[in-house]
Amino acid sequence: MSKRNIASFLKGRVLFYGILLVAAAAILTYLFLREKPVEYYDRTEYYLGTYVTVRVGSKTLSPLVLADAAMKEIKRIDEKFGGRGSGTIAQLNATGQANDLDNETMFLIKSALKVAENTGGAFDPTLFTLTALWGFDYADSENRVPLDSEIVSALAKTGYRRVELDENNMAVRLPEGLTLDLGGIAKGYAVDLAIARIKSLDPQATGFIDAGGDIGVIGPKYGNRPWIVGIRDPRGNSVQDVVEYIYLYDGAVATSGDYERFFVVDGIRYHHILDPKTGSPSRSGAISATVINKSAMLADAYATAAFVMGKDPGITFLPRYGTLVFLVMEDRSTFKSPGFEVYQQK
Amino acid sequence: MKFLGKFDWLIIVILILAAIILFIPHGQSAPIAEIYHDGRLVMTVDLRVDSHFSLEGMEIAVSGGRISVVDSDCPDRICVNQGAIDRPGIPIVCVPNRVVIKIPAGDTQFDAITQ
Repeated sequence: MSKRNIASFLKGRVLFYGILLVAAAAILTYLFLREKPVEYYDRTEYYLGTYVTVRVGSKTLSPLVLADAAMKEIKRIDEKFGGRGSGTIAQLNATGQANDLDNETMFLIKSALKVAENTGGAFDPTLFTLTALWGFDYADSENRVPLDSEIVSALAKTGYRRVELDENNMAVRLPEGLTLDLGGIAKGYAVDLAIARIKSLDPQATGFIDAGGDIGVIGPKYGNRPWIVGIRDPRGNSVQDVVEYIYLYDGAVATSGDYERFFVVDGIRYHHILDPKTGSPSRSGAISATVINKSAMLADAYATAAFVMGKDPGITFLPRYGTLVFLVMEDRSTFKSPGFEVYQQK
Repeated sequence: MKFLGKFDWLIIVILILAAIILFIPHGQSAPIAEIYHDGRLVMTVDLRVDSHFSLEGMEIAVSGGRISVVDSDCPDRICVNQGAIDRPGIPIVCVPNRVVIKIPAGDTQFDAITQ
C-alpha cells in the first residue's frame, strides 16, 4: 500500500465521519430549537350541577393560569345563577319584581326570552313549576306522573310572553305564580364567558371547555386541527357510544336527549324535556337534538327547543338564527339542517 | 482498497438500529381508569384485571377491560345507567357522590362527547 493510498483512505474516512457528526449535530440542534407543540392541560371541577372540563393550551402563558381564570368565571356564574340560589333570580321569583338588575342578569333574561320567541315557545324559561311537578327540578326530588288537573294548573303558571321586561329601568316583573328559570342557559353562558376570559388573557390560546356535554371551542387543536366531538348515541349501551362525529374549529355544540334524566312507569319513558304546550315530556319523535351555534349559551337553549320541535316545519327556521340542528328520531333515523354536513368534514 | 472497512459498516448498522429503536413509538401504556372524588384523584384501577370494590357508597366493577358502576346509593343512579366504559372521551360521573371515573386520554378517536 502506497503512502498516497493510505492518505486518501484516511481522508475518506475522516470525511465520512465528519459528515455523520455534522448531521447529528444539526439534527440535535433542530430538535432542541424547533417550536414545541402546545401541551394541553386538563382541569375538571364540579360546577352548575355537572362536571366542567377545561382543556387549554397556550404558547405565551401557563395553561394553569388560563384554566384557573376560566374556572373562577364559571364558579362566579354558578354562585350567581346556579343551584337553588339565594341570588337575584331567586329573589325575583319570590317577590315577582326586581329593579336595578345588573347588565349580566338582564342580558341572560333577554337572551332566554329571545330564544323563546325565535322558537315559537319551544324553549321556555318559565317552566319551573311544571319541572318541579314532574320532580325534575333537583337531583333529589321524587319523580312521578302528575294528574292531568295538576298539569293544567301548573301550565297556567308558565308562559314566557308574560314576563314583563323594562329595559329603561333594568326591571323585570313576573305575574303571580310565574317562575323564571335560567338553568337552561346559565351553563352555556358560563362556557361562553370562560372562553372570553381565556381569550382576554391570551387571544392565541386554544382548547375547549366541556360543561356536561355543552362544548365551546377556545381555539383549534394545535392551532390548525379541529376538535373531534362525538354525538352520544341516545340508545347506546354506554355513554361512550357515538352516532356521529363533528369537527369543530370554533363555535359551540350542545345536545339535549331524553336519556339524560328520565323515569319509566308502566313501560313509558318520562324524560325531563317538557313540551311547553302540553306540560308533559315532549313527544316530537326526537330522542336527541344536537345544535351547533357560535355561542354555547344559544346552542344549549336551541338544543332544548330543537328537541321539542322535532321535525316540525319550524325547525327549518333555526339556521336563520345561526343554529344548525342534528336530530336522532325514535326510529333511529336522523335529520340534519342544511349546512350541518360542513361540520362533518375535517 | 475499500473505502469503508468492516468496523465502519458495523458502526453504520449499529447507528441505524439505534435510530430505528429511538423512533419506534413507545408501546401503549397499561389501560387504566382513574377515579376522582371531589376533583381529586383517589385511585387508579388496572383494567386488565377483573375486580370489584366499593367506594363512596358505589359498587364499582371491572370486567373484560371495561369499568362500570354496578350499584350506587345515589337517588338518580345515572352513573349506573351509564353502563361500562373502556375508552377515554366520556367519564362516568356520579353527581351526588361527587365521583368521576375516567380513562385518561391517549391518542383517541374523539376529544369530547356532546350529550
